[in-house]
This record gives sequence, structure tokens and C-alpha cells, in this order.
Amino acid sequence: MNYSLTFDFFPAQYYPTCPSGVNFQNRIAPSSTAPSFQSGPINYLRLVEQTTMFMNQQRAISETIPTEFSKRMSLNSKMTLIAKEWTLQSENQPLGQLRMVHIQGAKNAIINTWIFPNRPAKMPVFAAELIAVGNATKVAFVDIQVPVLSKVAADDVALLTTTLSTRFSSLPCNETPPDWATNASQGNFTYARDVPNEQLSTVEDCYLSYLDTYLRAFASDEAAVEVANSKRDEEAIDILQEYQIHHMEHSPGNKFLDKLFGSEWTESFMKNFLFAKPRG
Amino acid sequence: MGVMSLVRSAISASHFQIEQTAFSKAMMDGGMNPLDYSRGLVQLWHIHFALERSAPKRPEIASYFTTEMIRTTTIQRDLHAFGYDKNHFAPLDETNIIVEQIQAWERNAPYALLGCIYILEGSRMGSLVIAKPLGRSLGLPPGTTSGLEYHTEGALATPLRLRSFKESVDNAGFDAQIESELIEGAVNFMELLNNLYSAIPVSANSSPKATLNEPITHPLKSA
Repeated sequence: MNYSLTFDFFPAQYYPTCPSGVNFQNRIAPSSTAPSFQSGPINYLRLVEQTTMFMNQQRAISETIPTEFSKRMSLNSKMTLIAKEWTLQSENQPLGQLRMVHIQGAKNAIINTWIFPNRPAKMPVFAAELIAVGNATKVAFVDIQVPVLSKVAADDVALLTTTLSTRFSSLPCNETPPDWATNASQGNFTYARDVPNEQLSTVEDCYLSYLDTYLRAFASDEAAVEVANSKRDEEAIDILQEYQIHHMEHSPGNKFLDKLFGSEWTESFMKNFLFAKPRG
Repeated sequence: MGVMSLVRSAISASHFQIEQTAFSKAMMDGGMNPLDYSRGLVQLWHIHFALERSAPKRPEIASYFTTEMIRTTTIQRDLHAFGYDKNHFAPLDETNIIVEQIQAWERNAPYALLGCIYILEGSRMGSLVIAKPLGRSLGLPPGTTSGLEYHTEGALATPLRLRSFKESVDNAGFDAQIESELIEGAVNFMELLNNLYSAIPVSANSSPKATLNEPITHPLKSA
């Protein structure tokens, strides 16, 4: 069986094609900074390093996760999965977990990063999934989502993400995401398809800008003081869990992981690590 | 639904629109230079100055206007960092219209000023996003706040401050007429800001980068 990563693994409905009649090449603006052009296949190592650096700056606690989840070689020995988790905190109180999964092969790369707050009625969710095949980022979806957030707090997210999504609107095909990815969104996500290598730096900036903004707006000591001092709301956590299950069932990554790592391990990885309820 | 959510819904389209203006985009995509930015800051100085004079005069809304919302001194510091001050650029016609509207609201529709406060304070959420790319665009060293204080001052406290403002307005028990005045104020103010942002000139190929303490020369200064 050929386990090389192609989009044959992904059902078409997950990543619909761009609307017809639109020449997306015309919408590609030159990057404002010198592109971190990679001559070979794309990797997302810079994002792994920067996410780790952000966590260090946040004084987040690096969690030890079970060895069966922390590093895994694919069944065909061509891809390596590395998973990391940090607990964000404010005033020594846990705010939730950042979970990052990085899968790297010779020609393919994926980074999937989530922040699941343990007070989801008061803090939004950070979501990012980037998939590279060869010299292009085939899919990039980045957003700050509000599955449980109160109306007033969701408004804060909209104020932030309107500016963010505008900044990255030059990325191609960022307006037709699948429903499953956006039904907890304020609408200011960045969704891009088939981004050429020349725009890799913009894709990287997009991921890092959304993450940096999330951390400063919602996880800084000043911003999170109210969250840190509030009690865990199990009802809100249950709604968040429904959102997590929804993503677990619909994410194309699930089927992809099935193929690469086997369905039994994948189910356990999804349930017990990536989409587990936030702690604290 | 609270009145602040209604305001948010009412202005969301024009919020998106203002992000599309050349001035907004230049701040985000590296196309801004100190001259153009300072000219824009001066326009904002006039708007904040008008609000800072008007809001405290109306007891109905004065308590909502807190000291953290006073921005004119911050803008002056930013202008000085680039070698300018508020008198170096004339207010645009669009700026004068906004100032006159604020003064009219002070006289006739004070709750509309709450809409202005919400827009300006809400924009500080956007500042959390703007500050870094704008600093790069202006040629400022990483970590520098001088010249960027309009976007960095009190930034980490912005989400809580804004939420507190919104909750206090939502919980004020305003009647429908007052709510309508507030919403119309926000919508009109946003529209006028859109007109202003569309009018602020941005150099087609803005590349000059200022260095702090090395003010660039501009026509008014050299004249």
C-alpha cells in the first residue's frame, strides 16, 4: 500500500475547491517581508520552534505526555509525528492547554495546534491546521474560535480577528472553508489553499500572528486575571467537548492519521490527547 | 441581546471596510512610513481631543470616560518620536467633520458619544495586532514602543478594560431611545472614520524609514 501523503486521503468535501471564475493567482500579493523560501519541500519547523518560544515566554508549563503519543513513526516508516503540550497559566492558575502535533516526512508536513481553555465561557479556542505537500501549503486554516464564549467576549474576538484576517487576505482561496471548520468562528478566519512556496513566510506569519495575538489578548496575566480566579464550569467544558468531538469526527487529519498510524492508535490519540478535555 | 452586541452587529461591515483602506493596510503590510503615519496620527489627535473635551461635560456619560481613554498626550509623544507635533499637519476636511459631529453630539445626543468611545476603545483590540507589523514598517527596532505608544500603551489591559466598559453600558438599563442614540452614534462615527481613513494620503511607494532621534525633514519643517 502506498502511504505517501496525497490529497487522495482527504474526502473532497472537507476541502472544497475554490469557487470557479476566480483567478486566485491575481489575488496573490507579494509578501511584505523577504520570504523564508525553502528550496526543497516545505517544513513547518520554524512554527514548531516559535510556538515553543512563545510557550517559554508565557512561562507555560511543558507537560510530559505518554510516550505512545509524544513520538510516533508511521506504519510505512516515512513520517514522524511529534506531539507536545503546555499548560498556560496566570497567577499560577492553569488557563488551559496548548497542544501541538507536528508530522514530518520527506515531502510532506503537517502542523496542528490547538489551545483549549479550561474556562471556555471566558476564553476562546485557538485553532490552526497547516498541511504541506511538496513545495506548496495545500491547506492553511487559522482562527480564534468561540464555541462556548459569551456574546460580549466573542465580540472581543471579532474586534481582534477582523484586523488579522484582513492582513492575510492576500493568501489564495481563503474564503471557502468547510462548514465544520467555521461553525464556531466569528468569520474572521484565514483559510488558504495551494499557497506557493514563495508565500510560505506569509503563511508562517499568519499562524504566528493569530497565536501571538491570542496569547497577548487572552492569556497574559493582565487579560487572564478574571479567568484565573474563576471556577471551573463543567457545563461549559461539556459544550467545549462537543466542539472537540465535532472536530475529531470531521477533521481530515483523522482519516489521514488512520492511514499513517492505524485506526486504533489514532482513535486513542485523538480522544486521550489531542481532543481531550482541558485540565485545571 | 445587550446594546453593545447590537452596536457590534451594526458596525461589523464598516469595521471590515475600514480595514480595507490604504491607510489601514499600509500599517499592516509594511507600506507605512513615518511621514504618512504621523499625518494620520494628527487626525486622530483632533478626534481624541474633541472627545476628551466633550465626554466629561455630559454627566449622562462622563463616568464611562475613564482616564485610560485619554490619548492625546500619547499621540503627542508618538509624534515627537518621529520629529513632529500636532501642528505640523493640518486637519483634513474629514477630520473637521468628525470634530464638529462630536461637538454636536455633546450638545444634542450625548449617548452617541458612548458609541464613539466604544469604537475608539475597540480599535485598541486591533492595536494588539497592528503594533508589531507597524513597528517593522516604520523601521523601529524590535521591542521599541517609542513612536508606537498609541498602539502599545495599556495594551495588555485592553481586553479587560473594553469588556468592563461594555458590561457597564449593557447593565446601565438604558431605555430604547437611549440605546438607539448610542447605536446610531457608533454607526455614524464609524462611517465618518471610514471617510477619513479613505482620505488620509499614503505614499504610493512609501519606503523611507525614520530612525528615532533622527527626525526626517518634511515640507512644513523645511519651509
